[in-house]
Amino acid sequence: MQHDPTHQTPQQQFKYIHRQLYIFRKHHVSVVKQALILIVACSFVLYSLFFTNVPAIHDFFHELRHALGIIPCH
Amino acid sequence: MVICCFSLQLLSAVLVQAEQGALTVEMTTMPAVETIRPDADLVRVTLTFLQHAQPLNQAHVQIDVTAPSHSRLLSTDFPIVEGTHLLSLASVITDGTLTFDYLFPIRGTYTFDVTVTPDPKNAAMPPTTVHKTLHLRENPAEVRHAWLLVAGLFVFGAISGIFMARSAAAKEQTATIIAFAILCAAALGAEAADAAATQTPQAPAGWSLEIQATPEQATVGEPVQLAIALKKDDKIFTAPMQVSLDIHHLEDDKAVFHTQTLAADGATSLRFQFFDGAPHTVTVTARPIEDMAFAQEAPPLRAVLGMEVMAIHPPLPVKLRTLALLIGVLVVGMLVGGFVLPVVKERGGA
Repeated sequence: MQHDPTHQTPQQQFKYIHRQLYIFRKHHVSVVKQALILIVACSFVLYSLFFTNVPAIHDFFHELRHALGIIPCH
Repeated sequence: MVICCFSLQLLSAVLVQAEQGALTVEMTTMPAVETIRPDADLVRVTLTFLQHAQPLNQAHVQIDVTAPSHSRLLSTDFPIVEGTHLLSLASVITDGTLTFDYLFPIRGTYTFDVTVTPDPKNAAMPPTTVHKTLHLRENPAEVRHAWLLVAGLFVFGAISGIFMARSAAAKEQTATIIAFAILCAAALGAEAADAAATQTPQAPAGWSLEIQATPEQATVGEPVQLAIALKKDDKIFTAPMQVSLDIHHLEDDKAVFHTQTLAADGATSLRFQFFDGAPHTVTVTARPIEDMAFAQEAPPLRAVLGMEVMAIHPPLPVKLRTLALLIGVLVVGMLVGGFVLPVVKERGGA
């Protein structure tokens, strides 16, 4: 009940809103950062699927690699 | 109608006709060149040698096949093979033709260097070298799959772009992606391959057929010299022999190469590049032509050589270039989804 803004004074409400905005800004990820994270993640996934030399992964996706015609394999 | 069909068949079959001096070399393939799928169809290549429109008899022919060169943009699925020497085949021809079956590994333009050395009695024709090319398209199914991958990446990028444009904070989604990326990052590493060759000659009644690979360890991108010798009482049988050579890909259970050649002096050799890092078998059968006692006595001699081919992984720049192209498609999709689509929608709404 202490943090309920409806039962607080205007000053307490202001502090509460200010605190929430601070948390929001602190955890906000900009669009550019989101795009970069997505690109890095997709690079890892695509490299793992199509380009890694780890035998278990390579052998599992070997036919897929050759079925695409543009993925370099051995 | 018959003439029309015959003409069409000739158009599809005859690829190149080269004439140098009095020698004409024609190259035909079965199936037709437009329908050949690399690394899928075993292609019968027939070279016909004509001198003054007559089949060339008693000549020594050497064929060297070179793989298509590197592409600046898109790699093939066997980048190590690109631009390398694939095959050297030598034979004596007696009926004006030389035939071999070959599994072409990649798309692109292959170069055939055909050297014809006529019989010494044929003084009218000097040794001649003819250059020919053979262009193969990519397997249509693989082209379709590649476009599906590109389209999938573009759509995924566009959807991601739309979400990122609409939502200021996509923490949960990003965290999920990061966790997935960390899991996949564990996949990076290196792989080693080992291989060994065995030889199984058969030697009935004083005869033996020997096949020797140099180097013994085959490696993708490097031709292997296969020396074949027919021996009688441990001495090379210096007379014409007919040689049949088969190379089989054990992992995929498919034929890679087949030919029948004529060796003038009981020994011949073949330079062959194994383009896939997988176990192969080389089977050679040989029979002396002029030794009637042998022909009545036994079936052709047979030797089998097992070849474990060492794989060479693609160079890192080639991998990164292809990865950059795929990521580029994703980025274009994100830009379209994040910027272009909202603007179009806004204008449509206005």
